[in-house]
Amino acid sequence: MRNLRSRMLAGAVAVAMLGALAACSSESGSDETPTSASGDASASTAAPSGSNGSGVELHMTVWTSDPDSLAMFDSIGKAFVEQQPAVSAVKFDSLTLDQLDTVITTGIQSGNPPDLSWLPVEKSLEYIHNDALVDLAPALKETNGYDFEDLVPRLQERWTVGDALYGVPFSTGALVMAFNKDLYEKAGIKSPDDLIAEGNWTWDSFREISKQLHDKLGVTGYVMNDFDYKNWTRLLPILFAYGASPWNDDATQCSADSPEFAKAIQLYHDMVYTDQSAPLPGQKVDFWGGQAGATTAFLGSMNNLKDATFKYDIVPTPAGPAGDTQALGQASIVVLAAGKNKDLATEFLAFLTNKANAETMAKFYPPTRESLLSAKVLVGRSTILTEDMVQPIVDATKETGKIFPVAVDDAKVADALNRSLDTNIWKDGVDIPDALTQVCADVQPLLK
Amino acid sequence: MNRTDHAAVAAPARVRPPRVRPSSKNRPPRDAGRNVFGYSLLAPGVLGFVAVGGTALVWVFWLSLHSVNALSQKKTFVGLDNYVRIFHDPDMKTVFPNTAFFVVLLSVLGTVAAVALAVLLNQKLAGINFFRSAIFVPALVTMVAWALVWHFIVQPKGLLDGITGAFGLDPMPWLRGGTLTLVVFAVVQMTKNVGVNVIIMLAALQSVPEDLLEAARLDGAGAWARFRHIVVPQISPAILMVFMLMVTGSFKVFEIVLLMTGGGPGVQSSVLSFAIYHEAFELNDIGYASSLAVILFLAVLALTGIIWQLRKRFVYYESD
Repeated sequence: MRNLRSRMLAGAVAVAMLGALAACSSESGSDETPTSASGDASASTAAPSGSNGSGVELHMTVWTSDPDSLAMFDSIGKAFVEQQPAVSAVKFDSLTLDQLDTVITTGIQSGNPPDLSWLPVEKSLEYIHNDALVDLAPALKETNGYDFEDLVPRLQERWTVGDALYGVPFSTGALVMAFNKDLYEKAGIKSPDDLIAEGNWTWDSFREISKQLHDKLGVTGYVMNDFDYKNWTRLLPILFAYGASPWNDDATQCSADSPEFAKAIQLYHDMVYTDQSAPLPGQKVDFWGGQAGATTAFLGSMNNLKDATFKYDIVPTPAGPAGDTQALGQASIVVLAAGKNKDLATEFLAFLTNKANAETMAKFYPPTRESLLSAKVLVGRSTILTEDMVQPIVDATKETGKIFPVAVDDAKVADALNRSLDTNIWKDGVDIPDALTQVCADVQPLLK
Repeated sequence: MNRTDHAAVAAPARVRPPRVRPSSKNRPPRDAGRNVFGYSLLAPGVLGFVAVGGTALVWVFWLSLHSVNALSQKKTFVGLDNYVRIFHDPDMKTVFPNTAFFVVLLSVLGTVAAVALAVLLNQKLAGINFFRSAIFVPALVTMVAWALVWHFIVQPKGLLDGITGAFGLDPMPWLRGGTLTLVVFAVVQMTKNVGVNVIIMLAALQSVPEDLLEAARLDGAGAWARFRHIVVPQISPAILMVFMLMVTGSFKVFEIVLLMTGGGPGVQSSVLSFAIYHEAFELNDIGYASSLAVILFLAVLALTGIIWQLRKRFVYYESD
């Protein structure tokens, strides 16, 4: 019986220990002294020669699970393996965007990071400042036939420090608006197409038709894709249209308390709490399933419309007091400095983003090569998009496109901004300018 | 019937002759062989625990004394700074009380619900096995699916708002933080796992000697008196075990928080285990997260130890 008691006690202690460890199981050892990521080139350059014959398996993380897209990457990977005998395989590890940071940092700490990864532009400065990425410019410039000059310089800015280039944007996606034509017809009100034809395509007029849609049919007028009140970047089409940004150009000063920011936030706040034409925090509304009149989403997300049971159209996002603007998200392919096969990974990156493969990828991801940035290439064999739909978006990308603002300590800054907006703004009866003062008080200490 | 009476009934005194253990030198080879065999059976578990649990525990404590930059792989010794930071972190003024409230609520609610449901399911009725199986089904469902279903129930303008609206009540901010959201979390978690605890309780209830209940009936004890004075003491070891599992389990709950609110608004619905995950894997602040993990470990250990000591006052027939 005493044994039974001891066993129960031991079991309880074990449960207690596991409880504490559950949240911290990813750590592993690293040296006490800082490791210069970029200064560790010798380790990686040894890999190709040492791997000849045995073959290195390269790993790349991507945040798509689309079978067609993954099949395309596999096919490019196989083509690379055929021309580079030091590589036995290229594996594409599919995950979701919100898992990316965890997977990469856990991999780095455990000494087993992916060799390459997609990386959203929001993370660019944070990774560059921490020496977590490899400078790709020398290798790309030396690669025969790469045509480095074809990369649109303005679209590489977030990844460039001096002459160094830390990522090759493979997708510069515009946040565009898709709308459900059937719902507007059923309600008998003007659609976004009608407002564009009238030359009245503004956020104010869009707010009005969203309210009418809700009043007449009881459906949600507008839902931001992937927003859920936890992703401030999805507000950028409105913010840019009002000339607002949460911080200044060099991310040292919070500007979320500016009048422009307040007006932009006030518009969406009114749609949620006054008009009730946008979902409340926590409320799930699925545009792709036909539950809302319109959404803003990346052009690449429009594949969700392939199973749509309603008529739809895709248009640029409305204008505001700051005129026509086009919010651009961006993702690059990067080589991680902590990877074990940096040279081979860089070589694969050069192969993956050369002109021929960039054109292949353009079917899924809007390219950043001047020669490929056309409606014809973007539409490709898409059954969703047409050149008429995409041409205005391509024009907007080239002429008025603005890439997401970026802060050095993005993880903490974005978290503080999202949390502060959620706490202070997204509730009924808020004085927006006053609340935004608190938002800046929360964010400013984290801006460097 | 007092505690001494129970002990007298259930565990009649048995006088054992004192055992004289032979010294190791005089121990027969057969006993030594048995011991080696016994230790070899224990070895995999012990080694596994030391390798995984013990090493990780020491390592987490070591990390908690450092500032760790996961991206640049820099680690700087900062002593107890991370622990001092906990006391100055305004978020922790919400997270710690939330955690305490949630643990107390879920542990008590979960244990009481398990006992109550087990008593209901301990009836000899036609088709009772169907209900015994049904109560266990949620335990087989993944937490993601369970949270998704509940999210549709408690979301704004969702099913629950529809039901309360039918009674003329205004919509409630079920997922907008504070006590109400923690209560929602507790209900979601409890309904998910109560089946496991019910099975434990049901097994304990079915081992209550029928002759004790019969004797009480003959003495004129009513249903409540029999439950209070015979059943509860008899199943008290099982209640203790379920309660301890609930306490340790409630400290670890973070999937619901992640899936239903992400700890928000702000940190209003965050609890300690979620805060650890958030700091470590979303903000890459591994040193600080480790210090929180150490605090969590110590809290669980202390609470488990206190409950273990208090059992002497509340648990009967422990040695049976």
